[in-house]
Amino acid sequence: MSAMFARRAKFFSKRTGVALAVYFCLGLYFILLWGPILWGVNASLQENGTFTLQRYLDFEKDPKLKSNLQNSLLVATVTTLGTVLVATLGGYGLSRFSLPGRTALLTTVFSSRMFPFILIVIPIFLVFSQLSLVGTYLGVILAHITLGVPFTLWVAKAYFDNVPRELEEAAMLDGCGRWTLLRKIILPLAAPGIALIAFYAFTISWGDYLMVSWLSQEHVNTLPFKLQERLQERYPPWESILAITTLLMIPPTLFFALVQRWFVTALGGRATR
Amino acid sequence: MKTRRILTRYGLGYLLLLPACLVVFVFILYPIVQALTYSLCTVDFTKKPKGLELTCTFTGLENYTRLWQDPEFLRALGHSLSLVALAVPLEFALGMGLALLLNQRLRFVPTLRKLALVGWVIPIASQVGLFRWMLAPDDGAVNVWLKQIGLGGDWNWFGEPATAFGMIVLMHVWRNAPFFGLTLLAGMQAIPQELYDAARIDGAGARERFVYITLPYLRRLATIMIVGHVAFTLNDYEFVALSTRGGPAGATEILPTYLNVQVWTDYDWGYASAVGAVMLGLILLFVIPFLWWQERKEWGPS
Repeated sequence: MSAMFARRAKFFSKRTGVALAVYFCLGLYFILLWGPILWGVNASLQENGTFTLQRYLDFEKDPKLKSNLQNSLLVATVTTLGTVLVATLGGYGLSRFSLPGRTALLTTVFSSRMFPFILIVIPIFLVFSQLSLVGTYLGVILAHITLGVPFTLWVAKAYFDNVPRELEEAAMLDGCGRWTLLRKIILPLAAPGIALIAFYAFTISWGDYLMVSWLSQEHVNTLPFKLQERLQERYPPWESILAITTLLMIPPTLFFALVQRWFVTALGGRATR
Repeated sequence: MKTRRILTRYGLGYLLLLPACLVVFVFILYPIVQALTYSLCTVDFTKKPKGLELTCTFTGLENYTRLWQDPEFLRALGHSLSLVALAVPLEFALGMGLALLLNQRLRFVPTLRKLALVGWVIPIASQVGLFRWMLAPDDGAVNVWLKQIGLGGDWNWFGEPATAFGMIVLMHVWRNAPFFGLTLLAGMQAIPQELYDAARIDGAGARERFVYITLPYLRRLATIMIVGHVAFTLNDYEFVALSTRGGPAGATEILPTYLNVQVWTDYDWGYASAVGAVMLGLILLFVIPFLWWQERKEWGPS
């Protein structure tokens, strides 16, 4: 602390000037970023200037709205479990076995993340409608897992690459079977990666509108779909829209707060790779 | 014999990869091939009691030749390209600025870093909800505020051709600039501090240190980010679908929404697939040189 003061005293005028400029720009940035969010949340909690939870209590009263919320939770939860399973198994396979064709597969997966999913959804819709999967939870969940897998497979592989092979070999020498190894050593060490995968899969599924707009029907519709309906009305009911908007923001934001320390490290990992 | 050896040696590996491969092949690669086939066909439907029965009549490149004579398609293509050309550089520039600001060793800055990604975390649907509310034509917050400071206040931001496209760009930038910022910040923090110390001793100013140390170190990361966001911006359907739906009068029609119109209004699935194929082509135009460059970087001398 005293060293800081000494330095500050030495460069007083210049450093203070720079700091003020930095704070000013950051202030502007964060007002533009957080302003709309806080403003919207605040407005959703007010009626004629007084605090109210009425818009949220309306969810209980409106059976359609309630079912949209339940659908969102169900679809996002199952998608998250499915994506975590598919991506961790695959990521471990990619990381530990020098399989023939691995590079080709990795390149394909890397590129497929950038493919236009609106093109992909055309044949998916046609096949699903032949299999009577349109308008079912299974159809939407499969589509959401597809959205998440290309990226999460990469994350999983990168995380398993960081678990030293020697550790596994040592454990195996001590008579540890593959399954125990996975449960006791690999999964705990790769836990941050798995948490990130879960966050990503959940967020993608929870917020998706594209897939839902094609593959869902009345009783499977999720909250983003409901929001779209409200937004397209001639006189959009802003109170209800803000309540849905706020409700949609809460789970991903909380989830992000949980995984954020690993997230920033992962971004750094991309930098040094 | 050889197959058998590969199976016993790699069997478990392939088994673990099986679900992921199924997803990638069945739900991404196969549909891509299928859609490219549709783009060479006229697709017709007959409604059967159980789902749709479709027939493809091969028409060669007819859908594609039609595309180049379709002014609405060309306009959508132009909009998509302008969106990329406006949004991605803005995201990069603002992100770089944010990264430099957040890289300062000052009080509160570490806290701000944690708060910077919120716009990227919330669903696109939520973001559009907030923006449409703030920018609502009559008594939206922005208009009320503009009225107070005497700058009109009767703007129909999403409803006028003059401003609607700008709103789409704005929403893209608002969402992705902080993500650029935090990624570039992570990249900056991975640069060895000694480089900066040495440069300072040699008398390099802040600008020189940025141009000769920071930028070259960030080049790889920046390229990854830019390629990814070019693809995202070209592909994204949700911003426009939830706000203007291509309107007013086609002012915000982009390729994904035009594809959607072809499917759900004109039921022209083959033509829609051709629109999507053009999107895919544009993206590959960006991705392939990047992959090639990355490969060279990895195997060649660094």
